[in-house]
Amino acid sequence: MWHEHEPVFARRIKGLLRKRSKGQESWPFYHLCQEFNYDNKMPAQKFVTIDVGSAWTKGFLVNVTAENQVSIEKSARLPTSLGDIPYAAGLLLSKIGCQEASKLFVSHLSEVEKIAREEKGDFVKEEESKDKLVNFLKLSDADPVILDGGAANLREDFVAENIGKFLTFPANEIGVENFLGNRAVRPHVLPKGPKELELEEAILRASFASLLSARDKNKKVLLAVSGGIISGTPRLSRVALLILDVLEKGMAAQVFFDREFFLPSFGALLTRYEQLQTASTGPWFESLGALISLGGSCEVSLDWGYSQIQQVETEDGEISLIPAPVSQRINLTFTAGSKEKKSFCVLGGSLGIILDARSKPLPLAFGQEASRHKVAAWQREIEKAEITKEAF
Amino acid sequence: MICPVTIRIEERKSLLLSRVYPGKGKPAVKVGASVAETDIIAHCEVSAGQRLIKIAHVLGVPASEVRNFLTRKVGDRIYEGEVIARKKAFLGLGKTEVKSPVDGMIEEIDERGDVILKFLPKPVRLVAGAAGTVKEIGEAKITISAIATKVSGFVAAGHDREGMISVIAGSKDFILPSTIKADSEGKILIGGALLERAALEKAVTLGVEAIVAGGMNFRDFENLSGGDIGVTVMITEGFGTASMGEDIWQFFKKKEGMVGFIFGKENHIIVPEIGARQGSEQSTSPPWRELSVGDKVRFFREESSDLVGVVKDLPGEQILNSGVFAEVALVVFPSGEEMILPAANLGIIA
Repeated sequence: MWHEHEPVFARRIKGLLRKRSKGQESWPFYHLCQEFNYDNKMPAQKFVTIDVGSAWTKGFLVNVTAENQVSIEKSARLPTSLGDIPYAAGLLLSKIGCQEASKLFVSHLSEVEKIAREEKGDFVKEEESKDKLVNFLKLSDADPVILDGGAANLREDFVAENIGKFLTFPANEIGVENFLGNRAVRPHVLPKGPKELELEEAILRASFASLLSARDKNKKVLLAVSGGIISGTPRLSRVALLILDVLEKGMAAQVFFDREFFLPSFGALLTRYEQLQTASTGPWFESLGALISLGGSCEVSLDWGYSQIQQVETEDGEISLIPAPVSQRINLTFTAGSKEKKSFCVLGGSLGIILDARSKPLPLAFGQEASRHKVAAWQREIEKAEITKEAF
Repeated sequence: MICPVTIRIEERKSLLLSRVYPGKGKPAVKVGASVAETDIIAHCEVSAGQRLIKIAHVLGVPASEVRNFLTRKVGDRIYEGEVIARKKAFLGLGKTEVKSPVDGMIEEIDERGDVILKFLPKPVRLVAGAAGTVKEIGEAKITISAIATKVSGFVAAGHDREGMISVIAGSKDFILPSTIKADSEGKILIGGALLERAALEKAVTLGVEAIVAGGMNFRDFENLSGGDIGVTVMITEGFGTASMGEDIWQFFKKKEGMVGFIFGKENHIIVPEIGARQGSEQSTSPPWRELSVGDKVRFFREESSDLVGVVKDLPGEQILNSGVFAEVALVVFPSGEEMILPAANLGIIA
């Protein structure tokens, strides 16, 4: 019997674990809660959501099915037409179509409320939307954190050195600052080449590191990553490495990846429609798997729920990927540092389980060739692991 | 894809030029009057500050009694060398006098017995600066409708200033201290791909009015954004080493020696056209619009001053060199170079 105040997401995961223990086949993340009967469902209907960010405005035609699954039927993106915000919003509405659908606007920009009124839609503040998302993601054994890769990170007070140390090419502080200055004036600009992409990812590393440093290291974090260069990433392994780089020693993260820049819009829907707290997400919200920062060489025990426990020995500095299907439950135990033994219950995902035995904080220094080589080697290593996994 | 519409150079337009009084002003023209560039449009008085004279301290009297020893009242004028306060010694044996160090007006006596002497205002004649018609006379400014060219920048900082346009460097040069010559006082200096901090410091020392450059380091620009340092700076392309676009550099080259008006907060510079009788109305382009084949676009890149090209094709979505999937545009530059660029990174030039 579920406790009535237990968060819905936690119930779904527990349900999943129970089913797995009965030896059923694994099933994709977004089908999890279809296995359960919820009384509080929404009638099937369509919505148009417009998410006006600092850099890009995203429009979606969202379908909520009778099974309470939230899926995206159509989407479009345009740079936020700062100075004339209604222009981009209006264009997206016409591109998305579906006049009969309810319109929902979400933004941190106050002027969007007026646009929503003019378009006969509803308006949700981004902060409200985030709160509802956190509530939706709440797990009894995990601490939910939303990592937004959008242009808001450019407003962070940055230290060029903290960004530059993650680059694989020679750069100086002034160059990094100039890049940030240019991006702050033109936040919608896309990375044209690999160097620009690296710089963007490095900015996110600096920003996310400060967000995660305040978290309880003994509790698994549930990361919902979305927006900016994260949702538009060329490879999932790049997102995984970005997160691994900012996880502190001994931390474990269950990572969900928003492929479609949809998370703020989903949060807005959750804010206005309480019934959606029981909804299942579509393929837009992908489970990447679990990322574990071991902090150095150690022995890891992986209990897959079978008769034998798998033992994995990681070498210092190694990043290893263990394929594990979405929804595969694994009890993972390792010793971080000299004595501290840690256990986490994690689930697999499209990448699986990634064990990171690099020492933390990462031994990187801005401007040193050895650091640049290390970063490049890590990138190659994780991309190779991803490609090898895909090949199988 | 939609792109921001930027108007880098608006040539020979009917623009409104605001001539702000440098101090208290009295207009010398009426609304509707035609004025030439050198016509005086207002008589102003500029007060350059005040001076504090420590009367109580020098005379050795209590602050409350200072008034009894002054030779002038509050509000009176006094000229340099005149005695402002006098104290006779006991039985008339000797006296102590304080003389005014400057021409001024006694503003007030403060609680410490110091006299605040406000410098006498200097008369200043405000000239039109541009030929045109007086449109409006306000409390602190006169607006003239004139035929002029407006050049918009990427970012700018500093007060509104005016000066003679002087091209000091090529579009790709660095502006070093040695680039700024001793005769730069009162001028608007143009050119260069990078305005160096040391050069900016020299410009302040020499009394340069403004500098317009292609690029500047972000950290140096940030230091300007707190307030006015005495020189207005406008960056036309972006932060870092960014060659000034040939379009802008060539324009200023043609206008060398003419008077320009730079507006730091509004991020543009206005150069009135001499002898121009008719100009077209100011553009009313929307700030954003859909990108089309044939559009003149600007693409910022540090490595070249060939920044403005024409959209040859819009092939749809492609994977960029970064691996990011995005809508692209094929742009051809005047040098003949063709580049596939992310459409979102382009700015349409109206």
